[in-house]
Amino acid sequence: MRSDAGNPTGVRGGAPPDRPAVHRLSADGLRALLGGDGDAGVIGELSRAERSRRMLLLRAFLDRAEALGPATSGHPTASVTEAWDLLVRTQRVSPEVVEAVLMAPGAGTWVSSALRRLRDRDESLAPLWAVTGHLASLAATAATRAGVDFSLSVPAHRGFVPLPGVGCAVLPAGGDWAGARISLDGGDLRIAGEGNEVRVGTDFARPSPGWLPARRLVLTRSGSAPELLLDEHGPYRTFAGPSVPRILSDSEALAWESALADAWSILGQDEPTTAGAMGPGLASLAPAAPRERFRPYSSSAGEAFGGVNASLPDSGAQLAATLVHEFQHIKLGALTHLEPLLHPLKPASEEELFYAPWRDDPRPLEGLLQGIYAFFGVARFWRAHMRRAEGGQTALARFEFALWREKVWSALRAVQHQERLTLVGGRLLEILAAKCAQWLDEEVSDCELRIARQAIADHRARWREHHLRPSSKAVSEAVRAWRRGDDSPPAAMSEAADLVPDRHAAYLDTAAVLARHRLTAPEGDWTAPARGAVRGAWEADILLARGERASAARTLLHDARAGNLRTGTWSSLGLALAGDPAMASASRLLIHHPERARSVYEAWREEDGERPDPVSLAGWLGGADSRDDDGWVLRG
Amino acid sequence: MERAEPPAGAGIVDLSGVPLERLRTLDYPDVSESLERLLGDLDDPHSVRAGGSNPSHAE
Repeated sequence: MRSDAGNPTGVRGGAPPDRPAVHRLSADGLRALLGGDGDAGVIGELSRAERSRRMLLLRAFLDRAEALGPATSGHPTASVTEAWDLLVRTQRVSPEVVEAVLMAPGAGTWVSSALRRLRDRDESLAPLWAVTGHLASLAATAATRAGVDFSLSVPAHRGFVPLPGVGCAVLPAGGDWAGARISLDGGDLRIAGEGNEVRVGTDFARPSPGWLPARRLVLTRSGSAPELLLDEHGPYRTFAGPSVPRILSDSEALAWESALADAWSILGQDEPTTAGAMGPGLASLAPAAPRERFRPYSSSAGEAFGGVNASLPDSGAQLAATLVHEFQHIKLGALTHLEPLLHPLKPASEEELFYAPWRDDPRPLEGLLQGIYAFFGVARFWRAHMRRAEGGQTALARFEFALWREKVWSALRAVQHQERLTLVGGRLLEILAAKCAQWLDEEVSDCELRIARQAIADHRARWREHHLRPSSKAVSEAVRAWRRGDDSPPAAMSEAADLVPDRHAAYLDTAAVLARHRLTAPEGDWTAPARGAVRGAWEADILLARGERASAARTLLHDARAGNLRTGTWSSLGLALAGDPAMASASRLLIHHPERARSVYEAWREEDGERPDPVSLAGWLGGADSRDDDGWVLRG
Repeated sequence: MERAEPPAGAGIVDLSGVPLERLRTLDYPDVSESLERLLGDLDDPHSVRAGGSNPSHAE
């Protein structure tokens, strides 16, 4: 990190005396990040910039809270000034502890959301004093960890009084929000509510009545042992909030410990540079409720550097991929704070939305770039892991690599010439594309490659069926042409479709999830539709995943002719008919443009109350235009 | 897509080593400019979340 600044304010460096330095990434650091990489040294550069950013946000918070005065004080918690004074006092004794508390991911979410609240940009349900009062919780946490005696009132939410990273006291809930008094006297910690007191004592890591210590996991790896907070208590751990703790059972905690140990071991072998960077770069993981198999949930936030929210994984490898994914987001978020990737939209401009091969919904360019960067890391991980994976995991790893390299590649191609890209943003996409292009040349066994490509085609087709619409003029012309018995549909049907986001679109990844089941348990529960092992999967989807196309086609056509055409049926029918030369035109149309068949079919049915034969209609629509035209425009 | 104003570039003033007790009284142009940019960022919906979650799986 270059920091060429003067020191009129106590700021380090040697810049001109009339201004402090600004953070700049080193050339090596920027190069590594643009390539999707970054070691511990790069994370150090980003961390220092994030630290300054956090201090600036705190300054803005203090200014705003002071300006508002009584609105933020005089309630059941200490005033902002009292809390800040305790932090200042604690920093004189133990600057490292204060640094750790203020740089925790939850503190980042809190200060940003509190500032928005103070500026009337946030509609949180929590009272303002409880939001601003979290500064007192942070001050109490720091003083407790540093052994600085104090007594301070903090917010209690439904009886929970968290000291983020230390533990959480549980008092009888006296309503949604109340105040609680925390005191440390000679190392003895006590938390008091209305008529109740939790005596923690001097050993904060020991459970006691009303006291839940924070869980910290040491991720052992040869040569290093980074520590990760398993954050059950922090009110801002989920990047929203404030929310009440989600307390893990002992068995859940053990499961997390085991999964993290496995993941860390895998990362140490398959992603050693990333693992080395995660040591200083990953601070906490907030466990979320378990999800469906092969559908893990995870998230991170640019305002919470070093924090991850994740559901309990199916396997260590899956968690390793999740950590890589979220760490990519974390790196790119911090990079973007220093080097914007996009020019901002002009205020009156309409935001363009794009197809993201990993999402159900159309995404803005900002989100798509984040996804590209994250899944680039995921593809890189599976590429390395598939060479070491054993047993049934080998086929799964090959499938994941084949899937993600092609999804990332298609997204890169879609946005690489966007005018909003800055020089840095354009360079990032160039470098990622060059690496991804090399991966595309690497051999993956035919079976996993074919399954991955079917899942890719299925997602893309389902997305089009949900979110794209030909113009109403093209549709009505097509209906008239079909009714007249024209040989081919009107040319207007080949024009770019409109994007009409369907907020009900969900589980567009069903084919990929079914593929994972097939590769790891060919005859497992997932094969029985009635068991509902895969949400969003219908009988035909399962038949397709089993490779039984003819049966899938019969099922779909039976449903269609009975009038049971749900969104997604058209694209599934296209895949089911693939391989039948007599159905080539219909299949191609339904895989590449299912939205055309759906729109004309629905318009015809609305006008006449009759249902045209789906395959005949698709074949007719496909006869005119077999181009894989991906063009569409946003309908305002 | 019409191109808007060029981005401001790196704009985080380096506060390494600044103790908390001095934070409230820092009064330099770069600090003010950094603050203004950050507050603008806070209002940008894309800055709020940069997650890896898929909405249909968030439950």
